[in-house]
Amino acid sequence: MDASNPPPAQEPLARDDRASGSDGAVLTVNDLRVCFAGDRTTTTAVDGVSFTLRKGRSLGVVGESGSGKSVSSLAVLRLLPTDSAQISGEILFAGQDLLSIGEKQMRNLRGNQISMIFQEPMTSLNPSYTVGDQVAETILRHRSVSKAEAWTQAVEMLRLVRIPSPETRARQYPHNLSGGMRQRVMIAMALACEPQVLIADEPTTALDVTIQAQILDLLENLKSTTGTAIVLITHDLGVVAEACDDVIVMYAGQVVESGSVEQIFSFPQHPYTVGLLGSLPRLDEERDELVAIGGTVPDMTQPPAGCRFAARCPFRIEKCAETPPMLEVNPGHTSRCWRTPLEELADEF
Amino acid sequence: MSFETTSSQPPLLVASDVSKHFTLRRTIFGRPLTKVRAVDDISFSLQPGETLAIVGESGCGKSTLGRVLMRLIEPSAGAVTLDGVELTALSNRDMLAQRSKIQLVFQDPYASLNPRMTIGQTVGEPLMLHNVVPKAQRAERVKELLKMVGLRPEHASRYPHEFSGGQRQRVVIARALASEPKILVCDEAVSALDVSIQAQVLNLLKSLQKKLGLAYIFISHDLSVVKHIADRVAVMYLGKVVELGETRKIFSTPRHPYTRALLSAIPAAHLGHGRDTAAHALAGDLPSPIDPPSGCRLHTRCPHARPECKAVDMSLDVEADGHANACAFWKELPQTDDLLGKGRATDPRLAKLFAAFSNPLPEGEQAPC
Amino acid sequence: MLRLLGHRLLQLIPTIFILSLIIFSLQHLLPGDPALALAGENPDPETVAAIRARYGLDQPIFMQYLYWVGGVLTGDLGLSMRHNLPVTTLVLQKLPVTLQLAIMGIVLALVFGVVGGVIAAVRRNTSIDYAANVVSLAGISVPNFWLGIMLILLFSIQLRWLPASGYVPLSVDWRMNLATTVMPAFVLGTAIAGIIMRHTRSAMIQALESDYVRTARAKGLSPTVVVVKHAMRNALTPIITLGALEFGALLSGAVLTEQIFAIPGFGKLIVDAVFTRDYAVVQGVVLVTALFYITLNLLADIGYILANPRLRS
Ligand SMILES: Nc1ncnc2c1ncn2[C@@H]1O[C@H](COP(=O)(O)OP(=O)(O)OP(=O)(O)O)[C@@H](O)[C@H]1O
Ligand SMILES: Nc1ncnc2c1ncn2[C@@H]1O[C@H](COP(=O)(O)OP(=O)(O)OP(=O)(O)O)[C@@H](O)[C@H]1O
Ligand code: SF4
Ligand code: SF4
Ligand SMILES: [Mg+2]
Ligand SMILES: [Mg+2]
Repeated sequence: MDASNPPPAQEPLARDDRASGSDGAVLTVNDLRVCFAGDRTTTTAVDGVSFTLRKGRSLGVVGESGSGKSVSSLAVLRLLPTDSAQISGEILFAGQDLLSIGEKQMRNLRGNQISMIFQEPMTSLNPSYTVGDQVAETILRHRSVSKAEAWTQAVEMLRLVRIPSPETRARQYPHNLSGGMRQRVMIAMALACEPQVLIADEPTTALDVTIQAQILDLLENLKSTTGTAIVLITHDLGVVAEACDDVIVMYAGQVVESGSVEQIFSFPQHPYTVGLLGSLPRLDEERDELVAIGGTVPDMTQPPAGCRFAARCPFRIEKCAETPPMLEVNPGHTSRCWRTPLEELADEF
Repeated sequence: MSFETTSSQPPLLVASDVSKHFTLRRTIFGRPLTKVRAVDDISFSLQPGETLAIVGESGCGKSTLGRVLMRLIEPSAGAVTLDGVELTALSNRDMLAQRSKIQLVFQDPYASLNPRMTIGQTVGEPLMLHNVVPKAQRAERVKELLKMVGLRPEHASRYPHEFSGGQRQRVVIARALASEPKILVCDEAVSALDVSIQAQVLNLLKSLQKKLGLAYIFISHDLSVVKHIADRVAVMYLGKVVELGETRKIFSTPRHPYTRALLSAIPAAHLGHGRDTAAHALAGDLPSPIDPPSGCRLHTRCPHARPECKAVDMSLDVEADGHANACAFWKELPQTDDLLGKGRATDPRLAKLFAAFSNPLPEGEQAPC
Repeated sequence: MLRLLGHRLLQLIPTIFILSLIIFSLQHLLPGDPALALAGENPDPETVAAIRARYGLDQPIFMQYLYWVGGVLTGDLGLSMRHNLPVTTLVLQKLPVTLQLAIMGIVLALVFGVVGGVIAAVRRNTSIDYAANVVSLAGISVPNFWLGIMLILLFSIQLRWLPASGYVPLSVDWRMNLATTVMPAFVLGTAIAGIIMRHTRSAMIQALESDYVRTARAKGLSPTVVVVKHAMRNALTPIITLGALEFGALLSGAVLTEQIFAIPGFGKLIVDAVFTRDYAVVQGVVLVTALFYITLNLLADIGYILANPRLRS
């Protein structure tokens, strides 16, 4: 996983190669920046985010609310409001930089090669059309098939996401379905054209655990059967531990740690991640007191100089006033902290 | 029915056969046509200083139960007794006097604070309403309350928008504590907060309980949070309590198939738990509460359902230690030993780093609140 | 859905009953004795009594009400004292004129209002949006009579393109018909166009910011499909109701406009009737207008139900 900032010097390296995946990379984001221009201030929502998504793997994105998770994913699909959002960086997909292709070309990719599931299953479907229509619409848009054929495929998709009696359900409107079923319809819609990349922004947050388990199961299945690469945005570390292969942790618009699930859950290398893991009650262990990360996230209209976590970090030293780079602590495990490896810090306390 | 813990103290709160039915539609003559049995025949008791959690899927009636207990909505049947006084028999005026003893903390700290009132006014309001302390001492008491929830007394003159989510929820708790209640009903009180902030509020609730001997009714859909904070747990499904018992027992040896399904569905935030989720998973979606399935309401989804389940009644089968559940066939269900799995233990060095977060921050410019 | 409709229809019964009571008692609230008004200067008591008997004014109120309702149900709205004609005949003569104006007005209002509102929403916060805003505000706030007079001054007096007043029925000469109705219809439509534009704009903005529009864009649909198929479909449903209500308002709003353009429609009929205390006509016109209103409301409800899958099932 390449997630350094500023972007590494080997940048001009064979683009097509990286995108089409000699190393299995399907989507590579380099130094992505998104600013929102307000009336008087500018909010830097995403500040130099880089990550690589590989075929058949899922990447978990975790982080505090407002850390830029949704904005990054919307930027990949270029769905941010064009009047207020300024985007820079590189988003490489199939040999192209998505930020420099035309809007028409981009529309051909959306819902086809890259698709997205949103957090709100209750409101993300159009209340005026049947769910079958809405799934078929995606197929009609990207495949040259007849209406009848698209409908048949849509029903098949609904069956694939395990909606019971899909023929009947397809003719129903969103308000006839429960939240879990609507979210499955959203997934069916996103998968209808067999995308190479699926971005799921908190796909289970609004759902009950029993339904969440079904949906995660479904995504897991998909990854292994179709090789779709999945970006799973969530605030639930449990979901990441169960459903992801790799993780990036975001804080105040930056990636502060990235590595495999195994690496991050066995010994996180950024103090924010440490705090995050410690703040979760564990089901299999007693924890008298949970870790509470004091303070609040910095104001992103004026991001602080130096390490952005410094104001809340118990391991802060003077050097932290300088901006820490992404440092590789173990192969494939990087962290934006001066004091890595954190194992060595344990003796101080 | 009642389920006493082994404690000898008289219970602080007793709910006996409480029901709440909402009428959705009526005929032209006012006869009810469709009813939701949001809470159906529920009984339990709460000891002073105890935390009883109420868990279950969305729409199972948790909030309704919480509100009926406070008589914010009138029960359709049954009685609620607080400290020996039957709340459900009181006039509205007498209820007002009792209300100081049982207070509510809601989910959304943004919506539940008046943006035009200072924190001091917000916290001071119940002091005035319930006349808890003489007027002259009110300002002093507000400061005390703020300190108690980990805010600074100077904060009294600030407005809600100047605070973070966790701080606002502290303000809400301070306001609830102002009338010196014995019970706090926390309805999803930490669900809207980021995990790191959620931890602050949970720690606060625990320490307040120790200090003030408060009892909590803790309504939540997050089972790991419940496991952390509750002494006992009531699991609800479609308006019914299906299992009730000590937290430790519920989590280690759950009896009811629904509890098992809930527990096995929680994704665990640690590595290497080798557990079998699929065996306990429920089929399909939650049925409509308007027309719940006959007999055992779980039979449409239960992995152990048998034909008789359509006709059994859902009364609780209480064991000697008070652990009760509503599955008629629970004794015949397969054993569950490792429902939660045993994950890899936390690296001791990592545990030390966790501890570092409770130390005061270097240079102390940002107090942890 | 049928049950919903049945419900709506049942609710109409008390509404119509109360309405009939109000309309009937109208005549007794108005000052002056109609028989005296009809009998002319210095009437002798016999003449007055004869007039009373002829128009049923000597009966007890309750009986008068029953006669009236009975008449209405059989299509007899009474006799106009002034014209000495059945009110039904008068109404049927004038109604098409006003109806034509109202229909032209509402069509203009819907076309300008919806198109303007959608464009303003799609081009939100651009100069197009601001311009649309100014126009809609002008439409709402400029008084009808002033606009009417200005139009007459410009198109009839200055440019001499259109006749200043009068009315030619459609059946006589469609070109003259159009020439005589286009200005009053425009005057009638402007205010409503402004209102519809504002509602459409805000409903469209809400729809464009909704999650399902984001979903539609994430599918790769073109902006036109997103706006027309996904956003407009939902945003325009409430506009149906608004349009129907405003159409009802047009019928009554026609009074003043018809005066300005001297068009012999409902407005003129009722104004004349009020001045001459021709109660049967006043009652008849008010009744017909009110029934129109109620029918429109019902149609709007049905339209709303048809457009809204949530209510249809
Ligand atoms: N359209 C917008 N205009 C201006 N600022 C925006 C806009 N969308 C997002 N932001 C800001 O960008 C920052 C990042 O938001 P984002 O939605 O990516 O957070 P997130 O990590 O997804 O948080 P959450 O977990 O709450 O969903 C926030 O500070 C937010 O206020
Ligand atoms: N005022 C009301 N009128 C009619 N039905 C209601 C009312 N309040 C709640 N209900 C219904 O009662 C049932 C229980 O609702 P309740 O809010 O108690 O659920 P809950 O367990 O708190 O759910 P959640 O986890 O979503 O908050 C639901 O089916 C709900 O639709
Ligand atoms: S760089 Fe310093 S302040 Fe930042 S996380 Fe590391 S130790 Fe903490
Ligand atoms: S009674 Fe039957 S359906 Fe209900 S929980 Fe027990 S086994 Fe399942
Ligand atoms: Mg988000
Ligand atoms: Mg609730």
